[in-house]
Amino acid sequence: MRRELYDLMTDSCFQCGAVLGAPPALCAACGAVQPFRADLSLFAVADLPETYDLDVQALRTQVFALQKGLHPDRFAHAEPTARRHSLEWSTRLNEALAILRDPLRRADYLLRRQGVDALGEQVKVADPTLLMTQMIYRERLEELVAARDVTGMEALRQEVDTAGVHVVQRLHRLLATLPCAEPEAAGSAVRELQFLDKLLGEIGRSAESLQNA
Amino acid sequence: MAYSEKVIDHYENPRNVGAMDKDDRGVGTGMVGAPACGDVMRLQIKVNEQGIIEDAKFKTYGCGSAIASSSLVTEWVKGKTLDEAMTIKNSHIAEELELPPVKIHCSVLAEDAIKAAVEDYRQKQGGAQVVVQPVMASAQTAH
Repeated sequence: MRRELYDLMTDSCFQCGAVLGAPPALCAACGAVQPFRADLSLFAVADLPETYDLDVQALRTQVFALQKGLHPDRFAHAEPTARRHSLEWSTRLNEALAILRDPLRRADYLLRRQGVDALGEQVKVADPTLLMTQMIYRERLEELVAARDVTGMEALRQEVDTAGVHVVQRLHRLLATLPCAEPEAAGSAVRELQFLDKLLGEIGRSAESLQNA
Repeated sequence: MAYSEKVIDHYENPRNVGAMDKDDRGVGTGMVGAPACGDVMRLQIKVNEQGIIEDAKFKTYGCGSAIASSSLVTEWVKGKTLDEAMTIKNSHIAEELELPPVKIHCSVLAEDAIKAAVEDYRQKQGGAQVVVQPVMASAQTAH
């Protein structure tokens, strides 16, 4: 146990002692899958710099490359510990891809890294402008559904989409340096984006059900 | 998710859906939203000169529990004084609608909405006591 802890701290292979690369998941020297490191951030797991201005294509390439070496299928016949470790790394890599490629979840993750939970279940919004805008969007959608206006719905979708793009631009400014110096403003931008995302989902479902009807 | 019969009843036959003129001095409007689920709720009360809530309307975009919670609150507040309306607790709503733990936050939203509506009305009347609206986490949570 003592030796294992020491190895984890120095990022050297638990099996052969060789120095590990980043992420410290597979030993390049002996090929052993390393014990999972829950302390690593999603960025560190994908060996990417922790930044909001993330190259999503690079993230994808990186995760797929790492998955090749760590996928549980490769360890199907390995001993149970190695199988478990590969599963843990692999699951975490999937999580990194899912969260970091999404501008909303990436921003939320970065804020949570500095102790700000912008989207917690207890978090509520009383910003009248934001709520009023949402109400108006929702009412418009309701009217469009009633009128079976597919064209109008597409226009609304584009409008909401553009509103979301503007919020993401705001987040790029707010999260340009980390930790974010204005967590309140960033948190409220994340909440606004979440409302817009939910609304986009709602518009998509409504459009689909109109087209299928 | 299994909804209780009461939730389904309010969801299928929501009471008091609609809007009032928010610029009317006798109308208090409360708007709240839950980003976690994207719900938006507007609850309005019409208060008479005796300080009694004569009428209430709501419009909620959200799940069945959020709609049922706000529908129920509009029923409850009619005929009540403002102070009485302020005593409505999310736990009463959750109990009446038999909400499962994961839906408790919907009843919290409805409680916040009625409180915000009363505050809005009071502010319009010259603000007897101005209580700060809950901007972030409120004291009553699911836990």
